[in-house]
Amino acid sequence: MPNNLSEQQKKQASLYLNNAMSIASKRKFEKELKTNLTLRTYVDELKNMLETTRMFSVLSPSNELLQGNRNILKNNIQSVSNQQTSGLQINDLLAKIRNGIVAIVKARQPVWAVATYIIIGIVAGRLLLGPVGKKPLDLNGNGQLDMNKVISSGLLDDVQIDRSALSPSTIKFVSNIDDRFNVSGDVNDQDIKKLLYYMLLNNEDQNKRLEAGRLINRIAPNEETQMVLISSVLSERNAQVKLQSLRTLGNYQTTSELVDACKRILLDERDPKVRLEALTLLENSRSSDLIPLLEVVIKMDDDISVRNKADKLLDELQKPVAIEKTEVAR
Amino acid sequence: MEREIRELIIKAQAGDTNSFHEIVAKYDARIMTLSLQIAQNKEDAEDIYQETFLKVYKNISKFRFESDIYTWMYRIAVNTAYNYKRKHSKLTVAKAKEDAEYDILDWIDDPHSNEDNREELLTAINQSLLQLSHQQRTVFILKHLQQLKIKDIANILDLSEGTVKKYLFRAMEKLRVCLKEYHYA
Repeated sequence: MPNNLSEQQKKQASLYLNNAMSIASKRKFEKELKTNLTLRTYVDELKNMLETTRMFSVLSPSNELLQGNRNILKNNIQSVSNQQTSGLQINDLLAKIRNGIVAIVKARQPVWAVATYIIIGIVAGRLLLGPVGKKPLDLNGNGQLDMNKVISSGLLDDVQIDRSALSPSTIKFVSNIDDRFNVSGDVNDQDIKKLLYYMLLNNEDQNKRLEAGRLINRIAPNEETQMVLISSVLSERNAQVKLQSLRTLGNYQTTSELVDACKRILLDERDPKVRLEALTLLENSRSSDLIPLLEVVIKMDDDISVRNKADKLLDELQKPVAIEKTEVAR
Repeated sequence: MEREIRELIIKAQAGDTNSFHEIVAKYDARIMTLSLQIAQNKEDAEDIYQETFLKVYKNISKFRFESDIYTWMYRIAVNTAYNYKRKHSKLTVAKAKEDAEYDILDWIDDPHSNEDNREELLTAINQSLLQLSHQQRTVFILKHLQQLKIKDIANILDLSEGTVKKYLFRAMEKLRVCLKEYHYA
């Protein structure tokens, strides 16, 4: 019977039941309902359908479904949170490296020394800024230096340590390309330090990088060197060089950048010796923030010595809490 | 807004994830219900749930206490569900129909589950809702199962009120035909 109704009448019925009519239209429609049996039947069918479907609104999801999804959500949020934290820490680290580089560029240095810092900036920028979508330091930003010429000369790639001159107090750098390039001095001299930084971070020869790493170990600890070493452990491909940089970092104060770098190594590094060294550095941190990471390492790491060391460190970190609890209980 | 909720929100905004999960536990049953109603299958509903709360988590610092937290989350959930189903509707209709036949009562707590023919009726409703287009179904659910006003539905879904009424009309007409044989009043 409702099929005899016009489309307009059906629309009116829908508006009526959806409470979407003006008062005047509603009165008019209700008046028609009293006299039009077909329309009334149609409205009753709609009402019945609405009553039936409302069964759905009293249903609620089962506890199992909710609990399962809460657990998944916790994991999802943890990974989002880790990504955000990791991004921020890398940015902070880069800001420090960048500020250091800019400060030295502004302070008038010999061409090669400035170039060293620019290269560090490029390396750090390429390796660290790249993933977060930032550009490396602008080489053309300084009017006094033609950095492109210095880099394209290949001089910086060729710089090496003259072993014949190596003594406990003196280091000599020479270049096979340019005989005039001859720099010697103490490991703590600014120029020498900069060349060592460059060599550690940018030289293609891993033996030279390792040698630079060993010599950097003799530099008196300072923030600038620490940043370079952290850049090295984050970007280095060779495990031996990385290990050397980490061992040197053991002489330094445990900063948040160092802790972050070690955390990253623990999760990403393939060589167990390097992971073990990172754990050694984390021992100095003694922060309870490490507990979740250590729990993951204990469960997931495929090397038994790394797992054992992580387990030992976890025990140590949990001890003070246990003692505090006991004291509170007393 | 309750003081307890307010404190949890402030803590969550400061990065306390435990407080955030407490907020989730308070409201997620309602968000999951909505997701199930719109998605009509468990897998999609779970995706919508996750996507909704991740958006809430990422944006909670932007919540300014100008509305109830649930209203704000609800809006995110509806939009997420609406966009999710629009993206996935062609792929999941067959799966959703399959789910509607086999496991509709597996993922819900039904307070009237012992009543005669109830399971059959629920399956029929679920399948009838699947006969609707995604827009028709969402609008119908928001109006008749979630009891929202047409104006609010239009606002949440960014549609005109006229379009909402048109979808409602089409949805009701289809459901009337599909559920003609069933009576539950």
